[in-house]
Amino acid sequence: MKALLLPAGLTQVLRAMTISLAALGGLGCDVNSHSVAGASSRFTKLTHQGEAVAAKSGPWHCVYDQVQGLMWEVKSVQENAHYYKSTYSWFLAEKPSQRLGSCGVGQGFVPCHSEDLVRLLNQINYCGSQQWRVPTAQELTSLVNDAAYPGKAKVPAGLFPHTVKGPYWSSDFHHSQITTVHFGSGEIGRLGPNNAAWLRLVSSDDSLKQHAAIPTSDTLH
Amino acid sequence: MKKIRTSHVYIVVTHLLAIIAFFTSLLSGFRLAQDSDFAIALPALFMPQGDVYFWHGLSALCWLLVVILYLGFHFLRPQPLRISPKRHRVIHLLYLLLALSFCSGVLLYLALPNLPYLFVQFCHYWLALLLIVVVIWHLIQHLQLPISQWLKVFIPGRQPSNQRRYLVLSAAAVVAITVSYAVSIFYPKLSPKLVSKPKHVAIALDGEATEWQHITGTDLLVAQGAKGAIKTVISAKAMHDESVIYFLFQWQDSSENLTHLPLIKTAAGWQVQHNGFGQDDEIGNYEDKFALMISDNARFGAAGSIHLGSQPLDNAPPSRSGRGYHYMQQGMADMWQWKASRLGHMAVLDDDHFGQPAPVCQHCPRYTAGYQADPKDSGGYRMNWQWFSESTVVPLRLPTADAWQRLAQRKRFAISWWDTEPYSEHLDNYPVGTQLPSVLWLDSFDGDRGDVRAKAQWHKGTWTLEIARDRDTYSEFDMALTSGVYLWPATFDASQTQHSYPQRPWQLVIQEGS
Ligand code: HEM
Ligand code: HEM
Ligand code: HEM
Repeated sequence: MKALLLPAGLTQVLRAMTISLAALGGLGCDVNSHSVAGASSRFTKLTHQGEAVAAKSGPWHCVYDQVQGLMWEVKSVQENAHYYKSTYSWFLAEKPSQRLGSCGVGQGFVPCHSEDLVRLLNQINYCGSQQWRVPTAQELTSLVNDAAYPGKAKVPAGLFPHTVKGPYWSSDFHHSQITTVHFGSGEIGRLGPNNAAWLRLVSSDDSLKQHAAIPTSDTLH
Repeated sequence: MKKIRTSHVYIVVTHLLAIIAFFTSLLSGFRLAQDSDFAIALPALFMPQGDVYFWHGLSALCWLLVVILYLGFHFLRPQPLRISPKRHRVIHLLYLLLALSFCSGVLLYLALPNLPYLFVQFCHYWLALLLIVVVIWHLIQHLQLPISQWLKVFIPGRQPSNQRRYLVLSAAAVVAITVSYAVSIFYPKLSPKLVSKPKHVAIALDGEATEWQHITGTDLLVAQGAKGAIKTVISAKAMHDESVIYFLFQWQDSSENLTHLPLIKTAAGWQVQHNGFGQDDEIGNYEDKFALMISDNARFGAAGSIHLGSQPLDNAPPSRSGRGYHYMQQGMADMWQWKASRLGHMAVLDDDHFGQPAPVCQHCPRYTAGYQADPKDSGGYRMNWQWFSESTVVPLRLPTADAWQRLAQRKRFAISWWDTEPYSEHLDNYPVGTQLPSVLWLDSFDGDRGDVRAKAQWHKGTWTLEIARDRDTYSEFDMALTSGVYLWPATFDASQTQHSYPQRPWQLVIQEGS
């Protein structure tokens, strides 16, 4: 009997000790519940037709945030309309033709501003929405993930793989300055509209509510 | 009242220590055997997870203590054990097997370059199984006796006061504890040394050893790896100037594997040619790799960075390969990974590290715990699929018309990003059977990940790899290369995660002056 009990007991002890060592090493590695990466059902991946994708599967083109009721554009490595390195100047109604950014369009790059991307996504009914717009600073800040792995862009892990560690435009405009959110530092800054910065559009279409009910199964493939 | 039978306190302590050491060695050993082809599959209950190297190392020290205590007692004990000859036979067998286990374990740990490592490992494993049988036999023999006769081995008796013997025994205990302590603290000092000499010649980073002829090297045995069965010797040399340190590593590999998960067109669509990649355990369709880990300690089990088992970390996803995770409990280890194909277009390797486990990622297919690449802003390589799937994939890019010719002339089945265009169905009119590279070369890494320069060449069964890095990069993801740090090499023979590794690292010694 003894011989049978001991191995089992020792396995438990070894495991418990390893775990407690891990705990000592500060491995409370579940991201805390306030942070964006932790909440299990907060985000849903969507295809460009707006269909849900299982949490660990892909590809996906938009991300729905259940908490904020917002759908975010996901950038791409292809040098097309969603190219993650494309920069935009901020669109000024009084200077609609001032285009100081540089955007991939499949074949090469063209000068562009933020409204160009807004129009394009609405035109193609991207991820099933025609209400794409530049996010407010508050909306953009809700994406900042301070628990991101050191050195990585501060966005929810695994959802926005192509994010530049630089300033992204918001729609908040005060005294000729626009609020930006820097996804390398997580900080809020300000830039004049003539600068070239990065851009991730958002949609708060009412029809998106359907995604709130989507279960995110962890199906591996 | 009947007097309770007792044993000499030395017997009690030594025997108890042996029991603890035995079960710790055995269970941790079962997990260590997980990658050995010859090992018998066991239920998870018998295979503890996590930092089992630490426990095996600890049990080894425990055995050392047992040996010292036992020898001390053997020469000092007042009278021989009063056991029947039948039981004595089993106990002698126990001594023999324990001594062989201990010696073979020490041989494995020292892993001198000419050791038939895999054979000794095989013996060490089978000795462990034999020990189980003999220990059970030993138990049965004793448990058959009336309880008072075997319980005494756990009950220390009062010894007739004999000051002199008491003193000698205590001294023996102190010696034993001190020796074990010293071994545990100072064994790093026993590490083989890699001495870096001041550099007097210009070094061209080309994967040729011409500049290194006059430098003496040092060898280290590495073993295990894909299919559980390789043993190879890595030879290393080092040179430095005020700001840069150069390394030369050479190891034997009968074939140069440059093909990396190629895509093939089938009737159902494009497929990745793979054999385990979906479980992070590709073997065969993978490039050769070499890794060097740099740590500030020489602890058993890759400086304590390897945690074996399918779920060594609570609250984290299970390891998809079921084999474990690299991560550090505290601090970090720098880790460089040279990749024969994916970075074959540049003189650079992938600068990574083993840190504390990354936060759990709900939306990532693979969790890698502490194994992370150093940050980059862009550059390197990209895999040519929109999303990996075991069945079919949609390529990310297709070669432009004139790129096929360049591809045909290249040794590595990889293609420059700038030689491709975005995939679209109307461009995809390739016949079934067409092969497409999965590796898309970008330009140089921009960021910490490109901190280490490296170039390798394979010639007649030997890889020669030259590496150069600043002695200090001042990056939080790198370790400064100073005298005293430990260097752990690993080779990957056409495999993704199964690799050979050393039991002990080299310790770097930077010889200043001329
Ligand atoms: C009763 C005592 C011991 C038992 C039952 C035992 C058992 C085992 C087992 C089952 C393995 C796995 C073999 C494999 O990989 O296939 C192993 C590996 C090993 N043991 Fe022991 N062991 C004992 C004592 C020792 C001692 C005293 C040392 C000394 C340092 C030692 C060092 C090692 C080493 C270096 C390995 C190789 C680990 C690897 O695969 O990387 N063992 N042991
Ligand atoms: C847990 C159950 C165990 C029990 C009940 C037990 C019992 C005993 C007893 C009663 C003796 C004394 C023999 C005598 O004086 O007649 C003894 C001796 C011995 N036992 Fe065990 N044993 C156990 C486990 C082990 C294990 C796991 C090992 C080692 C792997 C071991 C190794 C030895 C050795 C080497 C001796 C001889 C000691 C000497 O020469 O002085 N025993 N055991
Ligand atoms: C005791 C020594 C070691 C053991 C038992 C060991 C074991 C393992 C295991 C089980 C994995 C697979 C993890 C997975 O499935 O994702 C792994 C991955 C890896 N190991 Fe080790 N390792 C050891 C030492 C080292 C050393 C010294 C280095 C570096 C020089 C190293 C570099 C790596 C790398 C780079 C990977 C990940 C490969 C990839 O996914 O591309 N290991 N190791």
